Amino acid sequence: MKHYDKPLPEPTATSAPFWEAAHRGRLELQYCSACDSFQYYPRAICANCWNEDIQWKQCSGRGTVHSYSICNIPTLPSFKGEVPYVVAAVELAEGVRMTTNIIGCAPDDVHIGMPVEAVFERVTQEHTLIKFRPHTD
Amino acid sequence: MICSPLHLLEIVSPCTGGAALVVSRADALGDCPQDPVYLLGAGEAGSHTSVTHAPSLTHSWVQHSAGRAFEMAAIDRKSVDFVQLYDCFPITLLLTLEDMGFCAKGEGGHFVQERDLSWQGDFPCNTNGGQLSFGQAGIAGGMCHVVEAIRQFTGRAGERQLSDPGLGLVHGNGGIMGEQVTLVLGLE
Ligand SMILES: [Zn+2]
Repeated sequence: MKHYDKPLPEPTATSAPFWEAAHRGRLELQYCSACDSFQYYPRAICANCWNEDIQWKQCSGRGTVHSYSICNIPTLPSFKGEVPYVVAAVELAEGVRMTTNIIGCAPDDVHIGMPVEAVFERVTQEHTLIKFRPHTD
Repeated sequence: MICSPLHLLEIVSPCTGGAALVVSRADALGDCPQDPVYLLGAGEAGSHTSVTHAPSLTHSWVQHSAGRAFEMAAIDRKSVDFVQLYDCFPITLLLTLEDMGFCAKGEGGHFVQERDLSWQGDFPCNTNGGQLSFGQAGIAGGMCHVVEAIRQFTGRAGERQLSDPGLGLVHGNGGIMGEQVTLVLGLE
């Protein structure tokens, strides 16, 4: 595996289940049965009703592009080879939004409302990032 | 184009700097050599850290922070003589104007186009040029707007001095459009 020099996730006790699931190729979100809602990013309690008893649930990995930007000049030098790339807020079918990248199509083809599906990109032996690509039925 | 739809001059440039002001109880001014500026109203509101998780990308929490500040100061927004608005990107300032109720949603662009925002204009806004002109000094950045308001009230704004400002509005935001704070400042 070639050297990966971009920032990597640093899982906490609260977020570790998300990253471990991603590494196994699954998109899991926290779910609160008390108020029937999903949440992302991971938190110690349900941000909606403060219930402490929240579970991890596997999700469809499907969503739509809520908004996006095409990056031509990156913040960090390690992203230089990737430009232009798309930073997006993807709204998942479960109702939460994730900051992510849209890959697998030309940046100019990305549009708001575009259906997308999760892609699991293994970037090191220990780390997998969740990105999204166009999805057609 | 740096990151669509933002061009180079629409992005604050990081800079080094600091800002400070002295805050006191009104009845503890003693023999302060300078006329005080009063904090008449303050409002704070927030719901998220990253804008990705904002309930809406187009309606910010400025409406709540500004609403609370106006209510506490018991003033109407129309009575302010100048505004100092957080300006990391032009869109931040436009959303702030819209959510404060100076114009309808989506009309921020037209609003600033039709007005003279300079110190001599009909809607003095960021009379010091704002962060888009002189840079963003990290977390001290937002304070530059409070300092400029105090300079205007105390007649120390030099060649950009407003004539007789009575009420000023200062707004700052933190996180990524996540946390909003509005202040109403005045001379009495
Ligand atoms: Zn809940």
